Amino acid sequence: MKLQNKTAIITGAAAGIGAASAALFASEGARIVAVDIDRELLRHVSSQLEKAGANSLAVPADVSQRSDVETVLRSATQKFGRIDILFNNAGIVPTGKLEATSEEQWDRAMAINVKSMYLFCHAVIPGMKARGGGVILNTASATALRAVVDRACYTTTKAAVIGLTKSMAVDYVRDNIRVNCLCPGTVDTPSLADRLAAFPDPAEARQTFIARQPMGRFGTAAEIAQAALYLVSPDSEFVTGVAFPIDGGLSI
Amino acid sequence: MNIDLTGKVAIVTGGAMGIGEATAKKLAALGATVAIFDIDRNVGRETAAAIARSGATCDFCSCNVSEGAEVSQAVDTVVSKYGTVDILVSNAGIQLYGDAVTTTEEEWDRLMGINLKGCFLVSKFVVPHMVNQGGAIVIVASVQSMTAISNSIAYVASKHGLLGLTRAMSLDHASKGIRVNCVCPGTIDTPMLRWAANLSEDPEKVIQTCNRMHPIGRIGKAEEVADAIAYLASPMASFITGAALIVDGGMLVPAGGMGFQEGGTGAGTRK
Repeated sequence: MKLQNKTAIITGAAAGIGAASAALFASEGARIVAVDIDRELLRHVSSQLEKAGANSLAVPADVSQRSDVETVLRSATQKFGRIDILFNNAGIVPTGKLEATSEEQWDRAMAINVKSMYLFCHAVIPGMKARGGGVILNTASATALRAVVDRACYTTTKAAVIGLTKSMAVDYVRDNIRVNCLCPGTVDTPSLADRLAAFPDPAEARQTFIARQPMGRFGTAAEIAQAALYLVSPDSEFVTGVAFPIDGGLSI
Repeated sequence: MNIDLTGKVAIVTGGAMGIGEATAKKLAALGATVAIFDIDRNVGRETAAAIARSGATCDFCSCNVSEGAEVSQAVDTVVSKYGTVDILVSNAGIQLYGDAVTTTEEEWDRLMGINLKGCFLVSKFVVPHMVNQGGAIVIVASVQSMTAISNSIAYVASKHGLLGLTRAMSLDHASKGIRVNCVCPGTIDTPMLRWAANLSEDPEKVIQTCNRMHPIGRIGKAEEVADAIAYLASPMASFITGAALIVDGGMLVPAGGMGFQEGGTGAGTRK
């Protein structure tokens, strides 16, 4: 049990990488604070966690709103007393070239993908410092390492996440807070399904997406969750400030 | 090997001072018609007037790059006067200090608005004018697009974001003949650096420390960054897109920083 007696906040926990990580972290003994904007999906994930015998708390929240983030922290602290692990995973995938990106889309993506991480870290770090340490993991993307077409805004937000990660890693290295980020490639999640559904022929689009994968397949949420577990567990005690690609070779 | 930008129309954001000012001067000296976008009207007008006095064509457009309406209007002004835009140097930026706890939400939003969204907005309104004849965009990123210094969370995140923006745009617009690159300067002697140094009790000591961080032994000059920008904006760089050109006197090379190299590796005692 790698996370025995640890409390982990996971944002974007209702589906995909977040849900898989919540299940895996719980199976390793962690208490889970599951955060998502989708109440219904969150309820579902929460009941799955309960069925598996996990000690968990589900808090619906818009991660880009400071008041919501404060509510999450209040509820989490009331129930579990402390936060050991923060997994900033919530994010959206705006598509399109820069010219086709509206100012509203830009602002929304920056708020959900980047500012949310600032807000959660801003709220969680003082407690981690006071208790002698903690672990933060952020979800960036392989596109921040090697660009793909039609992801101008998305790529910018994810590159900013890498900057945020490195910045916090140097700022808190003496406080025993490790900060890393994951750079997943294309992963078979509901978020991907949404993007494929936007194509005239989703099945064909799926094949096109698979064709650009060096390994000839998508990653699975469970595979990304394993990498997340490594980076939040004591196994990675000497690792901080890294952007860890887990992308089936996409960024080579 | 001479660069000739005669007949090219260039926009330089944050062109009133520092790297932007040096770049506006350089592009004008190479023959380009230059429009300076800056929020500082007084200094911006003065800089443009000084360049115009040297015989070049240089205008000033008052513009807060984080406001879409102002950017759109400023770009329209340039296009209606000169017909198009060939070169965009996205340079406007601010520096704020603070970690994740001490940085306020307002500081975060302001810095992100200028450094990152500003670059998005100017590109958004300029790119449609470049699609016919092609163009070159040069974004002023930073060594902090690749590494981090402490107590600068918003700045580092914004500069990393600019590297992502550079790569994503270079891919999206390559087929239209629009090249998008960035420069990553180390510490450069600009009003922004002097401002930052003056936050310390001993500003001169800060500059000395900065000098030592660079293997070349000194901080850079704004003109040296302008040279790199002019190169990337010119036809000499016609096969270069999506690149990050490091202009840092070797700052990013030594593992563990220069202090570690000078005193700490133990290499000198080994046979």
